[in-house]
Amino acid sequence: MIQSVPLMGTIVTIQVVDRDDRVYEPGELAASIERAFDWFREIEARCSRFEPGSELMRVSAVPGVPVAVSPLVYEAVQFALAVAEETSGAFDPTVGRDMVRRGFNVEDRSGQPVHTTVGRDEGAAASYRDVSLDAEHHTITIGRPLMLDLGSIAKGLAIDMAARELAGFEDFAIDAGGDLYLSGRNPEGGEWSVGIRHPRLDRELIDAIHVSNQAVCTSGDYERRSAEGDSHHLIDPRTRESATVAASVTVVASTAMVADALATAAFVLGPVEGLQLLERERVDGLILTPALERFATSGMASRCATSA
Amino acid sequence: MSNGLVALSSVAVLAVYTAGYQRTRSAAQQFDGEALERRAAAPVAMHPAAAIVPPPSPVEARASADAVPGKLPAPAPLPSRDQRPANPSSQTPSKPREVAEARDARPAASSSVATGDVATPAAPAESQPAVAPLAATSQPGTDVIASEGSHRTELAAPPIPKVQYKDGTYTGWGTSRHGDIQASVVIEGGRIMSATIAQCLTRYSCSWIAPLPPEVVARQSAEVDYVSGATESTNAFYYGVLEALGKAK
Repeated sequence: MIQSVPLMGTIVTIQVVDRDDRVYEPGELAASIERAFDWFREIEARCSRFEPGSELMRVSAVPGVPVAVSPLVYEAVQFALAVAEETSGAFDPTVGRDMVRRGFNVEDRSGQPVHTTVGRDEGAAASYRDVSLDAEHHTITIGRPLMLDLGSIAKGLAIDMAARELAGFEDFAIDAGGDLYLSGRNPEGGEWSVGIRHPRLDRELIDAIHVSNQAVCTSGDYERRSAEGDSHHLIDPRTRESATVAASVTVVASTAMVADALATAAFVLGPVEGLQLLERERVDGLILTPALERFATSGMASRCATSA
Repeated sequence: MSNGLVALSSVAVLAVYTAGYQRTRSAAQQFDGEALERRAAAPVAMHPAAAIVPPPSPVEARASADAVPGKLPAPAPLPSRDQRPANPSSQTPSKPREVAEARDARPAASSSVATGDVATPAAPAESQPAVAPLAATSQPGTDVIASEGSHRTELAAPPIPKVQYKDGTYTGWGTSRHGDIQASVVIEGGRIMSATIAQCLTRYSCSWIAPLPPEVVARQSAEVDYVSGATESTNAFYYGVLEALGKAK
């Protein structure tokens, strides 16, 4: 059974391999897939920076005030801060304001402009260090005006939640606009094969790998280009400019949340530092430069059909 | 430090799943109701953003709540989320999940050691023991409550309205650098029955893109099962579907 639904700014596809020897309760499969999609809806509603009423926007609206949040938002922000710390700010969930300034202020779905809670001159020096968590009271406080943006982490979390919802089925695939989780085996009984999109040719693959029970996420400079010109949506929080040293980064990891976050961070860091980060975090990854030079972790090199 | 973020992500996934959004949702809805009453009594907006910006109609996401563009006939209507029991495990085979959680519990334990030397403001190590209690003690949950000293302001959780579509067939255009794609969406009984490509004005032949829906992005290449990295035509189709759904309101 395979279903596709427009969610989180992309098309989300869930495929559960219906083995002949598996017996389900009537409707069990469809109900499970529906619950998996529900996670995307839930996370989109809570983490959207395009809806002023979303939990994330409410946190961003009141600097200096502890805001109690749901476990979902708390965990997502906590993980985002951990990634920011680990990457010395190459990944930073407070870059939301810069994305607005650069023209990424059009709502993905309705085309309506985003209303930021941060003034134009505020928050210039804001970083992840201005966000603090209170584990006991489950509150988030922003120390100065800034806009939290969980972007890739929210999508990764949604994929992981959907994967957990489908855990009883063993063989399934989740595809959220090219960010994937592959469980078990494909319909033919083999390992899932995953093509890696060519960063310059929309319909070409630059390589292919086999994965099972892992997420594969790719950050590319081709994803969404700014109306202003060459800048794309991946901002280097340290320079506030679009990162330009990598064309795409693909990461294979046990969760989509970490794969997505590390792909974003490695994209910003570029081939050399990015590769070091991926090796240090013990995930597999492939970094492609605009000139299509390949930088692969040792684990990734052995996965790739084309040797790095 | 090694393997820190991978382990942390597993902990977070487990914590969020354990908390369960159904629990979250029922609490949120209750709170929404209370908040509505408060707003009726005192129509002054408590939230600056709410006063400035009318909430955008979150059509699309909710729209797809009933979307079944799959190749199989639409299943019998599922109980709506609201009707489902609050306990997320009550409807799913609990055994596999227990196994899966047990598997994930290990990295959780090791991560508190692994991350001990990282001075994150969040102090992830401290919060990890909260994973189990999180579910058991039912967090205040979800509802956004701003507190300032002794003064507490309560803000409503984001409302998640359901959108009912009018029956019919609707079309919408999505664009990509390679050209435009027109999506056609069929609504029956308020549900999305199918979403297909009606026409495409792209450099590539329609025959290549045509197989996309209902599988959309699955099997987009003959050689592989899936492709990592967003593709232009998928995005164009997405926008086409959204435009079509906008007309179905």
